[in-house]
Amino acid sequence: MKQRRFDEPHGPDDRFSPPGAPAREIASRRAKWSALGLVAGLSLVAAVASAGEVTGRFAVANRSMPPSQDAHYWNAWNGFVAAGPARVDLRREFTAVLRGGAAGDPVGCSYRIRGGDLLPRTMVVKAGARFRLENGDGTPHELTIEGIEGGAPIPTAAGNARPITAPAGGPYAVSDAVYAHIRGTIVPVDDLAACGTIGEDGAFSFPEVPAGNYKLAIYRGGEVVHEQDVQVGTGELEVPRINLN
Amino acid sequence: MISRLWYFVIAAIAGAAVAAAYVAQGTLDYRSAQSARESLRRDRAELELMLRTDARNRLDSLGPMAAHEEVRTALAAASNGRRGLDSAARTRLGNTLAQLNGQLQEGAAQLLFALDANGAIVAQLGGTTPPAGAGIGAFPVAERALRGYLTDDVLVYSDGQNPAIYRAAARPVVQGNRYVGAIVHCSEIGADLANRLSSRLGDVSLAFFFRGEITTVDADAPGVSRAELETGLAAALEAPELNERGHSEVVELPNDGVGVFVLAKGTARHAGAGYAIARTPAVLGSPMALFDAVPDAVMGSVNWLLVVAVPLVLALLGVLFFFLERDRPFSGFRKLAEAVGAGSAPHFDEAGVPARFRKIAHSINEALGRGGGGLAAPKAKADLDEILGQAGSSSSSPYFGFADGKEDAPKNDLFDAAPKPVLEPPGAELDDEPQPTTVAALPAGPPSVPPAATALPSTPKPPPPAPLMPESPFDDDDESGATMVAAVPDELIAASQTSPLERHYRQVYDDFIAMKHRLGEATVGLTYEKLLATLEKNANAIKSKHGVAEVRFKVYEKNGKAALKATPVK
Repeated sequence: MKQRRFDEPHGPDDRFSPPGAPAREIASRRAKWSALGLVAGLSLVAAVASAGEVTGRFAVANRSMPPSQDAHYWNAWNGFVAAGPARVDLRREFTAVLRGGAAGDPVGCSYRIRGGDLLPRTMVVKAGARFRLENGDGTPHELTIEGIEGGAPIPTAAGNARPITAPAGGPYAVSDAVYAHIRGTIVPVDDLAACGTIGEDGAFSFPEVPAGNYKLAIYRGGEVVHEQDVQVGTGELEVPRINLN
Repeated sequence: MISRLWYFVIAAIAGAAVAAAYVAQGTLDYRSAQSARESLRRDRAELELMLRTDARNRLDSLGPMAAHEEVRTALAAASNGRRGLDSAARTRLGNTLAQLNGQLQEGAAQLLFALDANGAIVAQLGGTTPPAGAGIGAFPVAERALRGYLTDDVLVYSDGQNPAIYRAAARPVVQGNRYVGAIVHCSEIGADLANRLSSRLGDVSLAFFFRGEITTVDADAPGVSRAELETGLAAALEAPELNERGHSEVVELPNDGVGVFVLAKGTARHAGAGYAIARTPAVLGSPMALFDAVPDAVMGSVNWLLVVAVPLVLALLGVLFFFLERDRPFSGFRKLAEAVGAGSAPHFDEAGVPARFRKIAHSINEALGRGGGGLAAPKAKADLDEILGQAGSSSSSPYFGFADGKEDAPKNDLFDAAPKPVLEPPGAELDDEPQPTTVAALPAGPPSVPPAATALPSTPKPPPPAPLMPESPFDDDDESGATMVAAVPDELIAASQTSPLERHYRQVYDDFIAMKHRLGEATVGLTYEKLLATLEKNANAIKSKHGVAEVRFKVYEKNGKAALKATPVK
């Protein structure tokens, strides 16, 4: 008789079963998995039903930036409309996160390169957890993450993502081997619960945050520039305006 | 002497010429290398100016594109965050941009972006289709353009396969008194640009590098290869100047080339992008290459008359000196030798022989005196027989004279086989002062060889024969004309010092030799002992004949030859 390998299907009924397993035992296993899935679904529904939203706004006193020092031959005003000053892009420059609450995977966190730069520049991640840094640009980027194993400059093609695991500690500096203007920081935290979305005007929001007590932290340049406690319920929580220097 | 010195002069001139050639070649090579270095600095400045002008031209060429109504309208719509721009409008915008870009002809972009006010890509020409929502607004060149500046950059962007270096120029797009976007025009840095720029710079090699590798080389680059440039680039990257100042020092390349490496003036310098300019100095390497490197105009300006005349004069002077110091004396010597060989001269007149041949003449004379060893015709042996004459040979050849000139003077028994010397009888009174009456002359011709040596068995062994040649009055060389007199034994000297008669005979001998020297006669073999024996025999004969107790001899000249006169003394 021909000896079959373990991962070879035996037939329609035992496609993923070890060879020789009795049919009754297989049916029992399927029932267990079905029950587990049902419990998980019910828990998710309950969690969503108990989640709230945190909103707020922060303001920066001085959004102007020093002019770029990049070398170039020409930088002449066009002569028609007054040239605008270099301004801080709040979406890139600041990061708002919630820390604490029940242990679990952080929600709402995405880390990208978009528009030619990191978005956001300060990437607060869960320590030891794996996250993906997406390249949303039309050209490859070669990010270097100092102090992290596997942080050597590896080209990430347009539309691809680079998986990164940041151990506890840090922060870890991020730079691009091709583009000098791309500079950021990875800040691992143990109790990261949610990442907020920041608008051009400094408005931020945390949709669907599980109810609980959190710390709202705003980062800039890898450092916490504002931190406060928030208690999230089932409704919307609007954080009073935050003024940052 | 002058001709010998002339050799040194010529050698010194030749040495100086060789040294001058090497110095000239080294100086030219050094100056050529220095000139190449200086040229590289000028090339860099000139190239920077070209790139600056090129960037300005591209910015200006973007004017119509940025001011195009459709472009402004489309970007204004795209910048409206609420509605955005539908795909059909994007397509129309792309077509418009392609048309406008085509109008730029040689200045057309290989990569062109139309950005909305946030830097998102609304339309793109060239490259691969970007992901939805992609933008380059954070790129410094786009960021400045979106704020209202005409600006440029050298940036790295991927064409979908590999990253490439582009010259970027960007203009803002204004609609309704506000900035609604920007146009970013990118031209890839490639061989076309390298060729175009290097053709304006002249004899240079222009290349672009990226991340430590030469990516593009001017196809018409003279002399400097890609491999050489990569070698220089590696050296430049190791030095701190490139990153600190944006350009390297002048780097020595293999095969005598020099190059300078400059980081790009733009964000691409962060990725190690830049350009290299190299030159190959016209190194001669060898003095022989001097003539190959001389331009025709310079060759035409050379005073060839002088070039030909100076060596010719020097050569003629050398020939003249050679003639004066060698050919002419040699010719004279040859004539003398021919005369001796022909027999018209018995020997070399050393006084008349040039100094440099005098020793040769002297040696030949010596050889002639010894019988020549085949050098010349056999010559009579120069001994006492020849000098004193042979008894009975001739009445005109004796050297002895007697004071009274009588024919029956005693014979010289030394010369039994030879003519007898004529001894003139002493004067009748035989005064104390003898009257010279008879002269004995030397034989005129070469006498036959007598057994003279056997006639003097008791005399000491004669010294080696002295040179045959008489002392030359012209000879400035003492040793060549000196008469060699054999050493006299000590006992004879002692005897002569104690006996007045011996002192007299010694004096006679000395006077006789001196007279012969003065008259140019040979004295070879004429030793004191031989003369003494002859004198004593003659003295004895005269004594017995005249009954005198003593006979005195005196030396005098007769017919140009030395002669002796005997005078009886009572």
